[in-house]
Amino acid sequence: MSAPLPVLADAVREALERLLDRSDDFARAGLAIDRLEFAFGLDWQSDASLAVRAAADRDGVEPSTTIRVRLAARP
Amino acid sequence: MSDSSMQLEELQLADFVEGIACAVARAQFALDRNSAALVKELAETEVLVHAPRVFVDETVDADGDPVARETRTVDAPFRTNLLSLGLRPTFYQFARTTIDVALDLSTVEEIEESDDKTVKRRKVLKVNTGRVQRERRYTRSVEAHSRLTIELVPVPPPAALTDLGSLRAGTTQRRDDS
Repeated sequence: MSAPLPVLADAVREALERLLDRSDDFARAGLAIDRLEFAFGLDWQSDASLAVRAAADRDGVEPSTTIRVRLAARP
Repeated sequence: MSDSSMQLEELQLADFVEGIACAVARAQFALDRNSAALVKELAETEVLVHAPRVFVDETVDADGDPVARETRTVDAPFRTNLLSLGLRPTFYQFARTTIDVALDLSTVEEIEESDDKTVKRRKVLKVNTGRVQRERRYTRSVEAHSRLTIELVPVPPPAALTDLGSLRAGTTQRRDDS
């Protein structure tokens, strides 16, 4: 099942909210989220809606999505 | 025996991101706690030292300026702890940590049924790395899909710990109000 963009945006928002909720844990460890990157593989669907393409939808199994979380020491 | 490290097939994206970020925070907390425990251990470990100690007795006037200074050496064994002898644990910090994770995405419709039989449907993104792992196992691809880069640097101990004076020598001040 492909994921329409609102579902994608909702998932990212929820991830950010979770990290904000845990900001005390990061502060206690002297760390801060320095960069958070989501690179989603996207496809145009037949109904012209932009959708997330899961790796299983393709011939290969190369993953289509990467997440990069970078943490840095607080000054 | 229960398997406490069972691999989960799928996680919600938010759970996944929170998990990997908080793992680093937990690791930093563990490093700090380890250094603090070592400080305590050094402070509680006493040793008998056979070395002369030099003490300076200083007499100061009403303005705090030294007017007399006397040095005396005490040549007798004394007990002290390892922290006072200058031993310090090394404090480490995750200066920069970058976690790149390659994932499979899937959309799952979650159905929640409340007590009043109301059914709530919600589409959520689930992530897993199962297919990535199978790819590596069966097609013998050696290309790394996920990468963890950690820059761990030693940092100076807390200032109060650095300022702890050695017990081997000391200066005492006496105010001369005569």
